Amino acid sequence: MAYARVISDPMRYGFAVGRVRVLETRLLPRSTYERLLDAKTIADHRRILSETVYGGYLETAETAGDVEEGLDKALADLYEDFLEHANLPAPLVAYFRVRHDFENLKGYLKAEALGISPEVMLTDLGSVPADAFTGPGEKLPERLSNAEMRIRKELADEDGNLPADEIEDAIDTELFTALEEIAEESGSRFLQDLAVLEADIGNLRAFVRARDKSVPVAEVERRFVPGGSISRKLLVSLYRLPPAEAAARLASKQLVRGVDPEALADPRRFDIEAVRLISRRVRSSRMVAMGPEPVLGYVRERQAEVTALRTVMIGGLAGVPSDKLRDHLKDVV
Amino acid sequence: MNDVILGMSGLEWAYFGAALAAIGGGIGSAIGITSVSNTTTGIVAEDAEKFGKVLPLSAMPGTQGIYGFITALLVFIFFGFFEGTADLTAAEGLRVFFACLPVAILCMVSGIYQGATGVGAAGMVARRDEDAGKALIFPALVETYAVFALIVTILMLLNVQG
Repeated sequence: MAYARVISDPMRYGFAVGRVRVLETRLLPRSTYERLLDAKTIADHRRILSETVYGGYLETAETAGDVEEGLDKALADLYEDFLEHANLPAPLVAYFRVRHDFENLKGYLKAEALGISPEVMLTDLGSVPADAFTGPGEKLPERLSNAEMRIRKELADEDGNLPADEIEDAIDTELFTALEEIAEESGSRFLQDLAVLEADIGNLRAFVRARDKSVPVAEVERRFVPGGSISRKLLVSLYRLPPAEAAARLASKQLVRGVDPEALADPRRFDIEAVRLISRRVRSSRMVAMGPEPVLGYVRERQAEVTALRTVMIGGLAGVPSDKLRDHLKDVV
Repeated sequence: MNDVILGMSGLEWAYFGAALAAIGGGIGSAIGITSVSNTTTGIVAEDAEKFGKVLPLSAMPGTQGIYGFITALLVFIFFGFFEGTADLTAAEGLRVFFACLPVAILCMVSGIYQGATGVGAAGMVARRDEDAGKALIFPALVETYAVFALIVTILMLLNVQG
């Protein structure tokens, strides 16, 4: 099998990997983020980014909405370029697209729960067009329509109304289940490991947030998603322990090695650590000479780059102090 | 010569060996070059200035095909195939066949793996232009064994000829 890959992988992924090797050198360096953090106005941001791949997407951006739109367009073009035309197997493409589908499903259900129009909460980054969520009739593929059905069955009251604050957890459970299935289907060890890591991170995030909000033990189990390396049973038993002891026990896990136990008791700090842990795993894909991994790693790094730019630019427009923004970006980019 | 081994005469065994050397080397080179070239075209698509730096990497697995061609040519020259004077016993023909095997097998395998090494080396050049010289060395190490195979084949053919 390994011998066959020596021949088949370069044939299948060679061109995309070659492009990625060059494009990796054009990922934004830390110094660019530092300059963006020090910049005073959106015009300065545009000037700094003008010579990067984002220049064209943000050249007329004035408001947070323009920034969102420009960065979404940058991401959509990246997906089009690498996920649709890089000859990657369908499950690998689905792994990246499906999270946007679930984001859209979340937006659609939340909009319904809050009684607002769903259009503003939908993007075209998923595998399903945004209008499939709002159009007449049932247009969603089976995976999404089944997920929607299960969520409605679990959360809706007698009149069919959904509680907005519980939709996020329910969507997470569906998303991580889907990611696990897709990763398994792909046969890619890299994706399977990433799916397990993302499920673990999702569970730890739910753990830390539930702890912060003092959610009762009886309610916390359903917030944990399947597919992680730390079982839900263990997480529940840790949840019963005093916070410091639970954080210390969690910190001893291989998964979060090197993470300060105090960060496992602070949702804001954990969010930063979570992105860092995933980035670290994604960067390891650079060490693979040939195969889908470098392409997937690059796409994931660009996603992180877009998230970081969104944080810096929209945070800057909203007047968030640069020190606080710098904290969010620490070790992520 | 009427003697045969496994139904083949000496000349047929020699033809078989020469053909196998040319085919093995050719397959190794074709796969090796395609492997590296797929990657290097991706690199050049994003940065056309790297063309000159990655071209030697793409061309390097081509040598195995040349060694296979040389081997076949030597068989024809050493044993008088061009002059029409070829006259080999079945045992001699079988020895020629065995003499061709190092190139036939090693050039095919080393061509494929040189391509795989070239892919990694091309990645080095994509990241840092100044590593282009170093990047050539690693695939060249794989070449060593194709050269050894050619030397062994030539020595064996000379031995049969002598």
